[in-house]
This record gives sequence, C-alpha cells and structure tokens, in this order.
Amino acid sequence: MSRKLSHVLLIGVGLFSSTWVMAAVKEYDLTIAEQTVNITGKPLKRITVNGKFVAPLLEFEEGDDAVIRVHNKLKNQDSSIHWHGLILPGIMDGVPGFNQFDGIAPNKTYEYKFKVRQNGTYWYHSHSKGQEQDGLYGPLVIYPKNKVPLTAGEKADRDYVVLLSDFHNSTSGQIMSNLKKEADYYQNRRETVFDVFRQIKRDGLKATWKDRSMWNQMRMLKTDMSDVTNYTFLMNGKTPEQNWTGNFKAGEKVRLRFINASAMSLFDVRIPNLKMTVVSADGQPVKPVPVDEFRIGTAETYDVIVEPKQANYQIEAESIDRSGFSIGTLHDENTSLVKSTTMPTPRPRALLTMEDMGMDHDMSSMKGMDHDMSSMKGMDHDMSSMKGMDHDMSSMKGMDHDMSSMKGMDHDMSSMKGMDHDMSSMKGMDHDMSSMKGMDHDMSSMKGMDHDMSSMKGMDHDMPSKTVSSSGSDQVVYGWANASTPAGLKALQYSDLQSLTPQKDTRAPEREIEIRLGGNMERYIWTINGKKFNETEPFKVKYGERIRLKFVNDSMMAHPMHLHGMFMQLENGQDPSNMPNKHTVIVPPGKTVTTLLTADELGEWAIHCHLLYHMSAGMMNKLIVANVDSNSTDSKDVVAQPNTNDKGVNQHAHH
Amino acid sequence: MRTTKKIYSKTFLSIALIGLSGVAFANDTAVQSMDSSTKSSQSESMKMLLKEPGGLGYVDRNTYQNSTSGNDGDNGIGLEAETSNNRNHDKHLKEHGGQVFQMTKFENEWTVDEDGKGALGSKIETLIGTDENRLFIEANLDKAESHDPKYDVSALYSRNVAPFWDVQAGVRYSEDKNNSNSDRVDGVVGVLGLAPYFFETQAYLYGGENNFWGASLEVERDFLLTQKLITQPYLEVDAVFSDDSNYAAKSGLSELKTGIKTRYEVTKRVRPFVDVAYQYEKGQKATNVQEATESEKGWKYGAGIELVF
Repeated sequence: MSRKLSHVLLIGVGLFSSTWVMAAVKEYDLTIAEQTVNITGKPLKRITVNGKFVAPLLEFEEGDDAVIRVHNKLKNQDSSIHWHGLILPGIMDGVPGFNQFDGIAPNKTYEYKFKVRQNGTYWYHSHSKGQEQDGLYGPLVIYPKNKVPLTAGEKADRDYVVLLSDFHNSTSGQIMSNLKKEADYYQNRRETVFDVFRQIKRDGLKATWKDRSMWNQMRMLKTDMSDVTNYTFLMNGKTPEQNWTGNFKAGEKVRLRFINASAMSLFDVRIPNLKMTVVSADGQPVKPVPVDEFRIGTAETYDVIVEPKQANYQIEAESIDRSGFSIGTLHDENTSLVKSTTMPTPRPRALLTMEDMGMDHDMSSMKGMDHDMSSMKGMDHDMSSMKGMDHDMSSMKGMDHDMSSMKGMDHDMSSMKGMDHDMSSMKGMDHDMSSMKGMDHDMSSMKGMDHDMSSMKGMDHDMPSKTVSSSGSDQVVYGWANASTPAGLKALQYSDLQSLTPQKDTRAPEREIEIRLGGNMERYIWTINGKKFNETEPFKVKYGERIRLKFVNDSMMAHPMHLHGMFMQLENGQDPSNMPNKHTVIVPPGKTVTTLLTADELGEWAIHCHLLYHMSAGMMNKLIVANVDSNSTDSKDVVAQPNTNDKGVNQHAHH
Repeated sequence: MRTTKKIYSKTFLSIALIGLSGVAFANDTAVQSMDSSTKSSQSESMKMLLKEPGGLGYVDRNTYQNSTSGNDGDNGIGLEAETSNNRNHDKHLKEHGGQVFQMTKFENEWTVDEDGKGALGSKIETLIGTDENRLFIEANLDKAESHDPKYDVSALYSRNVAPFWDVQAGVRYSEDKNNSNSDRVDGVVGVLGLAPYFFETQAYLYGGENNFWGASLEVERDFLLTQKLITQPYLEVDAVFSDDSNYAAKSGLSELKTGIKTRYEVTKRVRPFVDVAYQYEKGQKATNVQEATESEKGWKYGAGIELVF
C-alpha cells in the first residue's frame, strides 16, 4: 500500500516537475527611465533600467519561455530593446522599423515573448538612436537546461559576467553632432609635424614622402583607431577606481563571461599571470582554446574559464586606441582584500598602415602566385604562429617561388597573424626570404613589425636590421592587428575558434552577397556597398538558402559587423563542420572576412556595424529572409510567418 | 584696455548685424529655386569627381549591391515587393544616415597694418542639412578704423557630389556703407571641399549686374604643432574679370592675401588665434564717381577668436 502510494507520489512529482521544467515561464519587468547618475564625478542625466545604470542581468535557462515587459518611462523619446544574439521571431528582435516593430512610445509597455532556444552569454541594448551609449545596455545569460555544463571542462564553481563598456560625459546625441561637425573632433592623439620630422630623420625624406603622400591624397589619418575618445571604460558599470571584484576560493574554477557592450570601443583583454581558456564565442560553445589574451570587438562575447591560484589578479581590458583600461579584480576571498587597482602601463598604440587602408595589393592579388610553395623551404613551423590569415590564403595557390613578385607583401607581414592552416602547405619559407627580391626595399616600410616578427619564429633573423630600428625608443607600432602581444604569449585568433558541436549545415554556399564597408571620414559618412541605410535596398535571401556573406572592408577602420536573428559560421580556415558560430565578426581595416549563413529564420534582420556612430551614420542594412512563392508578389505575408520552431510562442506584440 | 573695450563693442555690434542679415537670408526663397538647376548640372562632370581616389566605397547612387547568384533565375521572384513604404519605416531609416546636422563657425579678428591702422573683420559660416543637401550661409563684415563697414552675405544651396566635395550655388548680397547705392546682388556658383593633402578649399565664380564677373579662391591647411596648437597657412585670392559698376575695382588679380594663422584650441569650440599675413590690393578703377587708386601691399597682423557651435 505504502509502496503504491510512494509510486503514485513519485509519478506525480515526476509529472509535475517535468511540465514545470518544460514550460518554465521566466518573466521580467524592465523600466526604462532617465535618471541622474554619477560615474565620473559629474552628475549626468543618463538612461537607467529598473533604476540601475548598466541594466540588470537577465538570466534564463534554455527552453524557458521568456516574457519581458519593457516599460518606457522616457520623456518624449521612443525606446526599444534588442536581444543581442538571440534566435527569436522577427518582431521580438526589437529593431524599430523592422518586422513591423515600431519602437516603444513613451509611457507604453511592450511585451517581448519568445522561446529561449539556445544557451550562452548574450546581452541586450536599445536599438533606438544613441540610447545604448547613454546607458541602455545589460547582460543576458542563458544557462544550459538545468544548468548542466555542456562539457566537463566548462564545469565552474563561480560564474561571473564581465561586461565592458565605455562611458562618456557627453550624450550620444552630442557626440554624433560633434563628429558631424568635425570628424576628428575627438582625435586627441593625431600625428603632429614633429612626428613627421622624426620620420624624416629616421627614414629619410623620400621614404617619408612616399609614405605620407598616399595618406594625404586619401585625406585620412593614420591615428584613427577609434573615432571617439575621452571615454571612461567600465567593467560591470564600475570605473577602474571603483574596481569591480569577483571573489573565488583557491582551487576553484571560475567562468568569466566577457561582453563588449561598449558603443565604440574594441578591447585587448588580459589577466596578467593567468591563463584563460576560451570555451565560448558570441554565446556559442567552442572547443577550448588556452590563451593569454584576446581582442574583443564591439558587441562580441567570449566566455573563458580560469583557475586562479594567486590571491589577486587584475582583469585588464585595454581599448585598442590605448586611451584607457576597463579594470577589475579577481580576489581570493580567504585572503585579505587588497587596496585599489593599479593602472597598467598602456601598450603602444598601433599606427595604421597603407595595408589597413586596403591600399596594398592585398592577398587577393596573391592569387596566381602559384605552384611553388613547395620550394619555399623553411617557413613551416613559423607560419603556424602566423595565425589569422583566414581562408583567403587558400587563394594563394600559385605564389611562384620567385617571390620577386611578392612585392606588395611588405607591410602585410605585420598582419600576417592568423595565417595558419593554409600556410601549412607553405612549408619552408624562412631564409628564403632573403631571396625575396623586390621585397627588400619594401621592408623599410615594415617598421613596427618587431614583435610580430618574433612570433614568426625562424623568420626573424632574416630581417634583423629592419626590426631593430622599430623596436627603438619611439615605440612606433604599425598595423591595426598589432596588439603588441609580448613574445611568447598567445593571443586568440579567429582561426583558433572551432565549434564544440559539429555544424548541422555544411553545404557549400549557393551564392555570395558582397558587403563592402566604406566610409568618408571627413564627412563622417559610413556606408554598406556605397550607400547609407536611408538610401539603400535590402538584401534578400530565400528561406533555407545557404549563402556566403563576404565582408570587404574598404575603409581604414575595423568594423564589428553584426547580423541579427541568425548565427553566421565564420570561415576561419576550419573545416565547415568545425566553423564557429558568430553573431558579430570584426572586419579589420583593408581586409576581407567571409561567413556562411543558413537563412533559416524568416523575417527582416538588421545587419550593421556595431560601432554605434557608424550605424547612426548609415552603416546598416536589412537582410530579408522570405519564403519564395512564385505566385506571391508580396513578400510581406511571407515575412510575417513565424518559423515552425517557434510554436507556442506568441508572435504578436502586446502594447 | 581701451582697445579691448573697442573690440568688445565692435564684436558685439557685428554679431548682431550678421545675425540679423543671416536670418533675413535663411528664408530667402531664391535659394530653393537654385536646387533644380544644380541638380541637373551635376551629371557627367561630377561622375569624374566620384571616381577620385578618396572615394572609398563611394559608388554611383544608381548602382545596386552586386550579389553573385549561383542559380540565377528564380531568386528574385516573390522577393521584389517593397515592405518599406510606410512612413514609420522611413522615419527609422532616417536615423541611420538621413539626419540633419549643422555646423557654425564664427570668427572675429582685429588686424592692424604696418601703419598701425586697425580693422575689424567678422565672419560667420553655417552649414545645415543632411549629408547630401545643405544650406550654406556665409557673412563677412569688414570695418576699417574711421570708415563705415563693408559687408556681404551669401546664401547657397550646397549639394554633395563627391566624397570630399560640395557644389554650391546661390546669391550674394553685398554693400559698402562708405559709398551710397553700392549695394548689389550677384549670382554665385562654386565648390567647397577638401582637396588631396588636406587642403580646405572654397572656390567661387560670381556674376551680376553691370557686367560684373569675378572669382575667389580660399585654400587653407592645418599643421599640428601639438594636439591643440595648430598652425594654418592660408591663401585668399579675389579676381575681377570685368566690372562696369561705379565702384569697380581694377580688373585682374584684385586682391591677394596669404598668411599663417596659428590657433590654440582651448576646446574644440573655442579657438583664439594670431594671424600674420601679407596682403596685396590692386586698387580702384577710374569711373564716373571714383578716381583710380594705386595698388597697396603690406603686412597685416591680427588676433582674434574663432567659435564653433
């Protein structure tokens, strides 16, 4: 009898809990308001969410039904929230003007409802004007179902969000209008005439003129690593002085979820003396990569596992224009709390090269360089450390051993990090460099290559005279990709990323969409395929179609390109089944990055540069995924159809 | 002390004057009527400009994104319908490249020549509009010591035609208070932009009543001594091709001024400066109401302030 009862109870409990697990509804209420905040010692009106500056952490489990009611209490300002990186029905994506979503009017409430179909580290932010800069951004974490770690290696005792952002004393509106007045309004480290004199002294008048004249003709600045300066960089909303601190106990494993929620900044992230193992990129699990540092583009996320042993570690995220740090501490709670942070010495800022401007005959022209890689004895192991040169190298077939035709390779070397896989076939290049006629004089422009070369072990002895000059006191570092990573330390490269689980769709792309990123710095105009969003036509893709997105950066700034609603597989040289999922890819200046996309989410999806003011200036477009019905001439209905995956989720907005 | 007082009151006066005249011209319908003519004239010659090296990614406005298709044919079917035609959507689109911005510069300079004769020059410039279509207003006021002021106000429609260049057209109204009935209106066409090697350039052609034809050119370039201390060599040239009016200048190169202006950017908005220039003026032509004058040349020393709004 009692046995029967216990059975019944068990079944009852089981049934109850299973339905509870299956249909967990997770609700949040978010109130957007304007409040006075004091971050930098100056009280300023900024946007808060539920009274917090840096909006609160939202937590979900995979499979949850998310219900998020957003109340707009701003005066005279529409608002919106976009769930960055989430797979959801178009109207829930929160981009005004897309999928019939029209923003949230003042004093109105919008109910976002969607099924949580993924796990990982994401974030959310406003997609209305510059509200993101003004404070409307926060972390969003989705744990695997029942919080079971995806792999044993991911099992961590502590779990912290590390949200990086940039705070400015001016509002986004002021910043944008200042940039429009003078695009170099915030450039406070431009080169002066004395830098030119120094260069003449160092390189001679002729070389200096050669170098400078092109920049002058193009009317561009070498120093334009970022458009906006005077930022205070925050970590979880705290300034370096306020020192965000994450506690741990000795022997514990800690998961750090890095989110770059800044408006305009890219960071080089490191924790001195602590190895980080990257386990997730853009919320999507990847095979573990142990690294010492990584560059995180605006809107990207990386999860790392660390095993701290010391009492204290300082987390340092340095903006790539070297204008400051976002700083926090990992602290062993069994030791006494140590003081405040120490501001690290900034690394040298890299100057852009012609190659960053896309002016060199870049890799694409290396096609046809043909067959004789095999005769390029020597380069093998070195190249392995030249990670990063994406698949483009695959087109380096050819490369006639003569190397004399490798002119144009010159400064490229500096950015040759990341060359890996294909280079493997370039066995043996080293001392042959000496025979790279035509390369020599070009080498003069390879200044600043120092440490880069050092990672090209085996190669360095070939060009000692070139590296010496640059490693001198003036510390000039060239090339956007040059993070000044100390020799021997490993910086994460895109090519290191491999999807943890095999990609389901490994089809070759049916077609290619070229997305050329351009800009006119002088007028602060940023474009996709030569057009601003207000004057362009959307990209149109068939539902289920497999396409390649080819991002070609014609400008001299890096653009973190973000696609809403779907993950792209980054063509980083990995096998198609291993390519990592990304929602945002950094397209370095003058470079081409390609991704593959299975268009399996119906709707209108924004595709844009995640540098806020680039997007405001026009660097944005719409990618429409629609069912192709030959009888229908109106794609509107088609677009509005929910994806079959979204059953049970209310498609309609509740105002 | 006395001089500063003088500068102050004169500055104040000129601000008021220029402000007034600017307002009057902002509503001038003549500006609007110029639109169509410039648009149509912007065809072939401008295509050349579009292709200059600075034109990164700036393509002809009629080209469409090129996507290569694996199985061409039915791709486009059913996708052609426009979903973007509602007004709200346009409103959102405008927030990504269609916004209206403005930039205004106000400059006030006190100069003395080699003989110690002073003059006050004021200038206000405003550009307002979208990236493509802007209204450009420029006003100058020059007042030599113990003379009445000379001033001119231009209102031009400014159309962006190439990455670094606007073509402009409009009218200029000018008057010399020292001469009665000297006020005149001229038509203006020209370009404003940034030439290679960072030369800020403004070049105009003028034409008006009494068979007046003239041209002007202004070129300047910044050299950074520090991030805040910036020296700016400049060149200003005025030419008169013909002028049958009563107060005509001699035709030919009527005025040339070249100098170096060095400013200190206290902030990006407040920029005091000093100015050393060499100026040449050809002089007046003999007409019914005036006698010919000799050409004059000499050094000018100035100091002033530039404000950016």
